[in-house]
Amino acid sequence: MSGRRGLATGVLLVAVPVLLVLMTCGGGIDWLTPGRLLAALRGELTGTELALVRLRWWKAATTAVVGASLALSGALLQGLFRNGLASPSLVGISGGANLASSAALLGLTRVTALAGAAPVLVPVAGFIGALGDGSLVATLARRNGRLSIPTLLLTGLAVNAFLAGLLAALQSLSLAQPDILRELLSLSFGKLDDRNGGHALTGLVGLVVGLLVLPFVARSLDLLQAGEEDAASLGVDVPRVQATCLAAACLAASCAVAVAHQVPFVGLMVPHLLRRLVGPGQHVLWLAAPAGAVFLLLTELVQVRVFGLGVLQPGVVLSLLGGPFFLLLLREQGRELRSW
Amino acid sequence: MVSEVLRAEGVGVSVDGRTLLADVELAVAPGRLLALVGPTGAGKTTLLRCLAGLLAPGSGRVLVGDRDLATLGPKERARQVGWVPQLLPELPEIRVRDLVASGRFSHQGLLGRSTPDDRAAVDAALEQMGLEARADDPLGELSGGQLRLALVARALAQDAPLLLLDEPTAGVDSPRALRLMERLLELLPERSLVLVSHDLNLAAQHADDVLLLSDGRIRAQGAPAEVLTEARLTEAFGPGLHVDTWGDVSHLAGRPRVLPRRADPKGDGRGLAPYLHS
Repeated sequence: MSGRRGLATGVLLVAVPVLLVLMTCGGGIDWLTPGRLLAALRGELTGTELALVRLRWWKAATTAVVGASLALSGALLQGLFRNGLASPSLVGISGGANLASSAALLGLTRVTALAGAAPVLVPVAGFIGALGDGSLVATLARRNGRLSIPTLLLTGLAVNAFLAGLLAALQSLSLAQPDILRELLSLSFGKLDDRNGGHALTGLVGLVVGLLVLPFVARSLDLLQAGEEDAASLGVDVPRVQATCLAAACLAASCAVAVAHQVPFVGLMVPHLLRRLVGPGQHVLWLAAPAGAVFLLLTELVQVRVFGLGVLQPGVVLSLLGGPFFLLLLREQGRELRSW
Repeated sequence: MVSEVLRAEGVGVSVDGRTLLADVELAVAPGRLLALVGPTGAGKTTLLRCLAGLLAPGSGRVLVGDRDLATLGPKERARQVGWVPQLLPELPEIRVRDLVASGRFSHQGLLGRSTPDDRAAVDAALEQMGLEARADDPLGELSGGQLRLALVARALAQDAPLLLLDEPTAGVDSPRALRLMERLLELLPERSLVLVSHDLNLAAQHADDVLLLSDGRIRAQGAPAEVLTEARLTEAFGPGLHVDTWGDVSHLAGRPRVLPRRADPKGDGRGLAPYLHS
């Protein structure tokens, strides 16, 4: 990608998320004019209108952060594994978070003294589950101190299948309690409405750590595309880069999943779309976060306008978009998916 | 005072109880070309990977100058030893210049920023391998021989005193292989080279020293004429190789010439002809 084209893309990917955040604040079922948004910024709004803007602002902020974190995590994982199928879901992060959140939710219904702490404990459990599961998959995939990429992908598949079984068991245990079952199911659909500053901040922690790691691993990931041995011969500390990228990708995705639950396909689709726009290479890493924010904000805006607020959850919409997209991609490329 | 750029002491590698290398001892003097030869599966590439620090030997050690390779950090190791792989995974859209520039990684800081020194080293490496005109072409447009030159240029940009090359002429036709070898010889004596080759004549014609491996053990090492004898080659490869000399070709005087020779089934000097016409 040329410097000028890269700069233009970068500016676009900062300007467009800001615009989409404003549209999310203004949009919804009732639109607020730009004048009213400015009034909100000046602190001139009160009552219902102020509450509405606050609610939309935290939804927009959380959506942007979650989209950015998942896309960054996906780009890191795809670069690290040199495999276009790598994503936070495949490495087990999403499944671990979902299972732990569900278990926490179910457990809290039995311990009434802690029920009031559910809004904090459920995301915390999700975070621990995501990080724990990601670490478990990475540990199981180690052979003689080295991370085996094919083993990691296959281990991720196997662990995910096992976690899905455990989740189904939790859901079936709750069949007699419709309220609990509804809550459990809603975790599987993803959640971007009704978020607050705590949610946005939790997501931001993972995103910031992921972004801070980028300058130190981007060049090494470029060199890793020719294989671990080749990169090592050029001076890349392969085990350190692998461990750093995996930890950053897990943390970014874990924080995102802890606040928004299952939001599938963002980590898989965004890096692919970026590669089509700007070509392969480390700039995909740099652009992944703003592109992920744009992608999820836009998806949410469109789906709320088309279906209405709260009719379809983000997980459902993204699955409906992501599945066919991926099939089309496979058909169009007609060969192995590029990872970088 | 250390007189070798590279030394292997008792290097051994075993995988799942199978010995791939045993008790390998070798030394590379500055400015010389050492060729590792031997039959398929002899352990040539395994040895080269040990010498490059890409494979940790199960026993013994590899010294670069007077420093144990295992104690060097990845970047320091890359500044000492340049590695030229046989082939890279398919990265057809990467430009030649970018591939060569990746050789500068070990000279760059934590953030991998390129300096004027890096750019000068890349230009010099491209020029040395005759690739200036192809610098902005993607790798996918290069021939096999040009791709090897680009990989050598990358190792030159690495600015290591020692280059290790795995089958640099494999898959390249003979005239181009010769030109590629001539380019490599131009790197001497500023650099030392160790290369693996299946081509015994390439080793015989160009190498200062030859090391003959079979079944993971050294069978002979020394000057080409001492190592590439019919008896030693028969021991390592089995029957079928004939060794003679270049006769009055003055610049190759004293260097052996290895020819595959068909067996004579009836021992009557007529070879396979009676069977083909019967």
